[in-house]
Amino acid sequence: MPTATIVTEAFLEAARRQARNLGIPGLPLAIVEHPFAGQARETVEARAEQAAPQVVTILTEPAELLADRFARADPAA
Amino acid sequence: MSTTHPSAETVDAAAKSLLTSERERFPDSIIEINQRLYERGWTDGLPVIPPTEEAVRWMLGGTDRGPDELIAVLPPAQGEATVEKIAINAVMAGCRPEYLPIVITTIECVAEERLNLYGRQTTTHPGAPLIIVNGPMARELEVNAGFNVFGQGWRANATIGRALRLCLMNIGGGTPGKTDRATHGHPGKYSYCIAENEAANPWEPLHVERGLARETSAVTVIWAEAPHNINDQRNESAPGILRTAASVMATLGGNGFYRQGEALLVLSPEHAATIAGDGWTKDDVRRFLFEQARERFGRVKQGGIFGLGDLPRWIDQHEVGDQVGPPGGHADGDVRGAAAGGAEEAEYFGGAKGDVFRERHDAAVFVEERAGNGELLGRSWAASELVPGDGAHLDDRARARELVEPFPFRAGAGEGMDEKVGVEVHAHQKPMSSSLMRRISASGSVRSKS
Repeated sequence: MPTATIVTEAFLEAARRQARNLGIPGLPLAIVEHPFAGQARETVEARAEQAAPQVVTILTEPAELLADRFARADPAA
Repeated sequence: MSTTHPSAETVDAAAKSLLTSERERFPDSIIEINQRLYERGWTDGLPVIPPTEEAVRWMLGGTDRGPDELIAVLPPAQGEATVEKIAINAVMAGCRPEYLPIVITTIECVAEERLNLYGRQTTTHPGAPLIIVNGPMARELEVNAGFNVFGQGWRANATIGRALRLCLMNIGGGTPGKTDRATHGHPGKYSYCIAENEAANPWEPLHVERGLARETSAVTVIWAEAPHNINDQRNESAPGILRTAASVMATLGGNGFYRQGEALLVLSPEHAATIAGDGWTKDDVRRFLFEQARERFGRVKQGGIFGLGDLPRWIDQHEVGDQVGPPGGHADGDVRGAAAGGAEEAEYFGGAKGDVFRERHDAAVFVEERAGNGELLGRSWAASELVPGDGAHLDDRARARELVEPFPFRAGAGEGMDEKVGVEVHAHQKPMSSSLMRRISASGSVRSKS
């Protein structure tokens, strides 16, 4: 099932590291600015706008392409 | 004709010789070795004992288990915690071989599914595994249960907790700032290990309460925030002392105030004696704290993590002015308004499945002393003991509670209250103070096979 995982920049390295540890180094990630929690509505909406096109891409592109691209985007993968 | 089968001793000796970790040559300088290990992120920042093969074999002398035995797989790195790897970290931490069975048992504890180690290792919350050692082994190994129980000065306390931390980092991959996303952390992340002063405990020791024999040595691991002192030198009665404790529990910054999570109350022997002297049982203590560790709902709404997620059902949100009708109203108008109880503690195992177990008030009663020998703990908080649910049963209980006499409770008044609670009472430095740890997310207890 196509799944998009949304992370903030502050958690990007943690997300990539955990994905590698779990055996999915090319886990597709939709990346938004940090922070996300405890923010004003406008900020949260801005984050959502950042995430939306990435989520669409992740949910619609072929999984193999995504895995390859996100694995290459991870410096440690 | 002699037997063709090797003796058990021979097999053990052969197994013990099979250390599989990679060897690496370092300069012959403990200062340089420590600098290199630090730069690799293999330490907690303090110098370590270099884990030479000689030292690791010495450490392995503390257990009958083979070095290749797999104790657990530790997240988030999914690292294999074999006896050998645990022994290496125990050497680095400064343990003696006699401590190794306790360290191995703590690994079994933290690996219990219900503790949600993956979440614990990667959360932003400042939790650390608090190790509580019970039984004769605690006394024999001089695990401090007395003055400065959370502080420095005792090798067992200092190095057992540190060995667990190094295992969580070096085997589990809990790297601060990387995978370990703790916003502040707390000093207990270096080492967090105490024993219960069973001799001065007026009630049952923790491990006995959880179904083990008194002469069984046991380890209980609870993921806990830093301890907060409870200073009460005025009261000479159970309700007085415990009202002070309840006040410390009910603060807007505490996670458990808005969600689930236990609170662990560690009582000094003097406070414990006073409370028990009034005829109160541990259940009485738990129940009192459940009732008293509350806050007006109007205030609850002003801060903390209000608005993020559903509140526990036991929080009455029917406001009257800026107060709320008490879920279990009683005579004390100051506390009846409201809401969250830090003492309440349905365990909250971190999230993966969202299962919440409610209504487990906690306080632990320990008492102080030194040191003993035997087996370590045994899964006294089995999942089957927990009460999963939506809290609906609490409503009935709350109504029933209105019919109960005001404090102090009598024996039996807490009947029907869930047992899961861990009120430990415990020993302490200042004779008239106790301490509280909030937001205990999970615990597990395992009997040692060593």
